[in-house]
Amino acid sequence: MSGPAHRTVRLVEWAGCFVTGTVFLLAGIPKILNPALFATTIFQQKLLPGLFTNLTAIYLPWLEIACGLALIFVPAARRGALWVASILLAIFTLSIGLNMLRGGFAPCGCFGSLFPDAALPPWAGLLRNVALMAFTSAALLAQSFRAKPYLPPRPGSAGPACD
Amino acid sequence: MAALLACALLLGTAAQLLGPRGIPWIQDHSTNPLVMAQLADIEIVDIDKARDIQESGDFLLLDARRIEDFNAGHIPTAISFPNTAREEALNELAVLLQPEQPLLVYCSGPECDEALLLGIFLRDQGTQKVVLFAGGFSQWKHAGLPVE
Repeated sequence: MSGPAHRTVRLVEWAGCFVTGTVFLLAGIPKILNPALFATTIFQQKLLPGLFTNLTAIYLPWLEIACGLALIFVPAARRGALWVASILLAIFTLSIGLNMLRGGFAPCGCFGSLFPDAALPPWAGLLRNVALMAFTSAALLAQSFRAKPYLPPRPGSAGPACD
Repeated sequence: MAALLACALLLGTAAQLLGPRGIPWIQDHSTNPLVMAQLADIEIVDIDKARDIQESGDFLLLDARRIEDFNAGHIPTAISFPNTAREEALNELAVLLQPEQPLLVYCSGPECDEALLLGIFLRDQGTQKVVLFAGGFSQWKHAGLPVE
C-alpha cells in the first residue's frame, strides 16, 4: 500500500472509531445515570424475558461505555471493540425494526434522557443505526487493510517513473 | 472482545453494589406507573412539555394527591382532584370537565400512581384527551418552577 493510501486507510479507521465511540459514550452515560428508567424502557420493548430486564439495564450501558472508550482511546483494543459495537448495533437495529413492525409502541431509550424518543421518529433511529454500522464496517475494513504492512519503495526498485 | 465484556461486568457490578443508583437485580415492572400509562394508552409528558401546557392555559391541570398535599404546595392554576375522592370531585367539578376539555394530571412524582389512575378514570368518564406529567410535583418543584 502506498503512503497516501495508508494515510487514508488510517483516517477512515480513526473516523469510524471516533464517531462510533462518541455515540456509544453519549448513549451509555445517561443510562448509567438513570438505570431505573432504562430498565423500564427495556421492559416496555418486550423483547427480553423479565428475568433479564434489570440485568441488561445494569450491564449494557457499561458495555457501551467500555466499548466507546476503547474505540477512542485504546488503539490496541479497537478491533475487539469494533466487533462488539457491530454486534450491539445489529441487536439495537433489530429491536428498533421489531418495534416499528409492532406499531412503534415502545420507546427506543437509545440515549436515555439525553435525547428523548419523542424528538425523533423510529425510522430516524433505524437510519442512525444503519449509518453507524456503515462506520464500524468501514473502520473494520480499514483495519484489515492496515494490517498489511506498509513498505516504502526501496531506492533502485521498480516504481513509477518520476524523472 | 473478552476484555471489554469483563470490564463491563466488573464496572456494572461495582456500580450496582457501591453506587447510589443501584436497582434490584430482578424486578417486576408490570406495576410501574410509566409502563401502566403506556399500556393504558395515556400520553406521558416531560417537564418541558408540562410547563408549556401550564403556560398555555389550554389544559386543565388536576392534582391527584391528597388535599393536604395540595394545600402544602401545588403547580399554579392546578385544581385539587384527589384520586382517593374522585367521585366526589367529579360531581363538584362536572361543569369544568367537558369531554373536549384536555386534562393534565399529576401526583407527587414518578413513583406514585394516583395521577395515572385518575387519568384512566377521567378518560373512562368521557374526557377525550388526558396527559400524564409523570415527574409530578416533586420534579416541578425541584426544577425551580413556580409553585402556589
